[in-house]
Amino acid sequence: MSEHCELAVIGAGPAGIEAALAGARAGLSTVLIDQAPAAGGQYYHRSPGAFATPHPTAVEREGQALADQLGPAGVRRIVNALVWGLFKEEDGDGWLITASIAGNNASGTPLKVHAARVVLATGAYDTPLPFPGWTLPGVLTCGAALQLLKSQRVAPFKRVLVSGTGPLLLSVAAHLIDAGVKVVRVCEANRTPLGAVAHAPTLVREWHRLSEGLRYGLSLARGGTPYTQGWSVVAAEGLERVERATIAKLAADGAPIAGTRQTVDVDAVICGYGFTPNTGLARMAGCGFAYDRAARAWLPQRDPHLRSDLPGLYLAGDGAWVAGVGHSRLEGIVAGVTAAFDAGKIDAAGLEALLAPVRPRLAHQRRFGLFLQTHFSPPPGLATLAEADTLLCRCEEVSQAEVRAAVTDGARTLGEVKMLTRTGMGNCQGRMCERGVTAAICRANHSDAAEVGLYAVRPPLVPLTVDFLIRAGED
Amino acid sequence: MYRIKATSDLLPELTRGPALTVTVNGAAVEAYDGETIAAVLLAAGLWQLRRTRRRGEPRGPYCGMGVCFECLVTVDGTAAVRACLTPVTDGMRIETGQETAP
Amino acid sequence: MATYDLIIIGGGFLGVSTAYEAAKAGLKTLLLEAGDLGSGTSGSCSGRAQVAEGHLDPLNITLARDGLKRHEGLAEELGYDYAWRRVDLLLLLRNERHRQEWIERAAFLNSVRIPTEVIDNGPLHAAEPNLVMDGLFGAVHTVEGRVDPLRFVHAYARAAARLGAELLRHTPVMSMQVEGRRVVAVHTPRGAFSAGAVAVMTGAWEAPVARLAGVDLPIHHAHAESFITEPIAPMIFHNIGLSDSYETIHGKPKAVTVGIHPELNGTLAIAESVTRTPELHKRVSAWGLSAIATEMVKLYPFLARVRVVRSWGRPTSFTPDEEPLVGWAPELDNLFVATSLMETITAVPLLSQWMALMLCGKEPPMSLDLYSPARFPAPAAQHWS
Repeated sequence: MSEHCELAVIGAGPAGIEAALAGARAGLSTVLIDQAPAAGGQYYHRSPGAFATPHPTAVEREGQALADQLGPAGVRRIVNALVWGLFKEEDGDGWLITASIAGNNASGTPLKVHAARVVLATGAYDTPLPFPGWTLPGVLTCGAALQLLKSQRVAPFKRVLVSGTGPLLLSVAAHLIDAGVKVVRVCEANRTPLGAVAHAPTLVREWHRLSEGLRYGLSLARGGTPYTQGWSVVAAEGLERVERATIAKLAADGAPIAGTRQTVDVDAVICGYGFTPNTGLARMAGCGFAYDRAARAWLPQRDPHLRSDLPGLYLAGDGAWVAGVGHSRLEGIVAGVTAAFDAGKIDAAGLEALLAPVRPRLAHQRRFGLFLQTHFSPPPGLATLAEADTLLCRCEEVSQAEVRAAVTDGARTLGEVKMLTRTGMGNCQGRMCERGVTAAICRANHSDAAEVGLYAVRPPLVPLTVDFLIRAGED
Repeated sequence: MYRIKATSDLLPELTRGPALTVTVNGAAVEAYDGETIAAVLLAAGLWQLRRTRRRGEPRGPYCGMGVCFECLVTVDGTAAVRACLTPVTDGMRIETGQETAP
Repeated sequence: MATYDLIIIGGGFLGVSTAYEAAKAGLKTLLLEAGDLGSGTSGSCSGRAQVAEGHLDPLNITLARDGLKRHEGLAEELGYDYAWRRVDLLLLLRNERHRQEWIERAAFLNSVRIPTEVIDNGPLHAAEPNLVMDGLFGAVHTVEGRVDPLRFVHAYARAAARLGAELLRHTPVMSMQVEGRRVVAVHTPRGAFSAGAVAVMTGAWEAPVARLAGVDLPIHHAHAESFITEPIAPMIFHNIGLSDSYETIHGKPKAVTVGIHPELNGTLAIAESVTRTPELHKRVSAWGLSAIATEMVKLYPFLARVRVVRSWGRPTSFTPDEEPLVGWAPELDNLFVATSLMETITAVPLLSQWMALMLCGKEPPMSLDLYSPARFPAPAAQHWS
């Protein structure tokens, strides 16, 4: 199966939906591709179609209202489509997107989308934080927990520790408590004065966030759950799954303070240490990346109109820099109209007319994003939680000791450590281990993350069977 | 036991799809149309979805969105299917504890 | 400006091995690599140390046979295990003509002590029970070598560093300063360096880098793509190649052939689709993945259900006569070039020793005139300052 379009948007979350709407309304033939059956991404994640939900939450209604605009705008939707490759067209400009429809790694139907321009709106994933026992069944991310609770309506826990940083911890804890789960504690790694937290919604004039915060606080009180700042999980233990967790008080830099460790009986540890942009396709395409010190992540380089350094490729939303739903939606608009302008569908005056109302709102959202980044990034001392035997690369089972040995042996960069230890060579192509291995190299080598480099990503984005690849080549 | 019955403004009322016939390692488990394999397994109390090659360690769902590749199960004979992304279907045969193909 | 006896540009097999041998010979050596060590073709190859498929002149035979031998003790000498092992190669014979040619060739190889035999379909099937036998005319069997190419680069780099060589990564050469017939300085973002001799060992990037010194080299390249599978239970027991690989890909804008290389951890490295493109890059194409997949199941149908986990692309360079390019560039007095070997991993341990001798101003044990840059007619001289 093969399609052609003027604009393909990959990722139907807040940024992707807005980019597709903007592109289509400006006159581009637009395709919106996502691996889920319904649009919404992670933030507007919808309950399965087979479930009946007579009273959707405000967020669910917001997401539905946004997604409902796609049909009338003439956006062609491609759902259940896993994008596994993004290639420059061999002849001419434009991009080839390869996807697998309605299948897992073997049984899908191959699809090719030929697009003159592409917006990558691939969102973000929970930042992995290695600590002893983090690979045990029962250690979950906040994102995973929220999917289970909200969309699947399953709470497979009895006693849970929630640990991480940022407002999302409160949301997870409140949902758990409402579901009848005992949340023994919420550990917030950063110490942020409540005044500053209260100040944050004023940056975006989103007062509902204050009432949300209060609502979550009420759940915690009802559940008898302490919320402590300056604490974190430091270890999980158990035989076949989590049975206990150890927490400790943190120094200002985030390193655990000796003598403060306490152990609690839990059957799950839910970790929320922020989000990392999902940049696999951007790397595969060959976008330029730069190390952003404040975000402590490698981010794709973009101009003020969200163009990458490759012609016809744009990046919007958390998939390029994490700042939340408001920011993502506005960036989606910018990317969509810029693509339309570059394609000659709107002129400079038209571009300015569309962007003028967006700019001040985007500036506010950027400030909010920076605020979150400043106050709710995992403090650097958390990199000391991993011990010698802690696995940094989950897929290939490479421990910190092996990474250190490679550095002792002369490896200086992420690429060289990968060469010697196989980190990043497994199924996830380095998404889970890039930050942890980088931190280990920097500590062992007294070097800077910017010097250590990043993993390259090559197709297929996810493992695919030989049989599927054969069928993908048939036209 | 682990399917949420309580409702609140955060977790409003919800009715699952019809019950489906799904087996895990040969045994029938409770499953409903619309649920993911991960949700079905976790609701049944099964957290150990596979064992690793080098150390033989148990692994279960971690990221919940298909980027970590921990939740790999065998579905109707096809190995390495991500349980968190895959909805159950009627008659589905799920096997855990394996790693890869042929 | 820091001064050295030798600056080597390029941190792949040739560069790091020469850095080691040069340091061992007492030369104060600096190696400059634009990216990570081994990030060019060296880190992307299958790690085969071929021995039976090269040209049959005495020089190539010696480097193949004796290079392989030098590998035997090399890990101990370098103090680093690079997964060197001997493996059985089966080169599947695709027509009767190839079979006859190889029978003759095997006789010659045996006479120069590279044991090679041609086997019939019966023994071939016993050796590879999962292989589709249709259309095969037996196979060539020989013993060649196999390394982990990444660890092989690292083994030499580490040993070179221990002998005092400096290896700078992420340090591209931006320009070279030539005065008269000498390269007097090499300019990088980390500063300028000078040396008695400058050696360019940048593989497929040899022509653009040599041009920085005003030297034009006839280096061509093709772009090759490979992929690697998930680990599988043992079903393929030899390195597998095809007798018609060369004919299939030579000179074609787009072609695919198959080589299957079982790894120690149970994965299969599968080569390779080849395209002619002016660009030097490491991307992989959608066409390449599908083409390789299609060809490999013709040989081993069970591979259809195996998952492909990663892929990589690389340029592979060659000269017009497909002999390597090794020696002093005739246009200048102190520029040495080395690139485009055909059986690189096999030859590198021995060749690097010989190149170190040449870089010290001495003669290697066998003449390398066959590889000399002087064999190509020089274009009109260009002097860049």
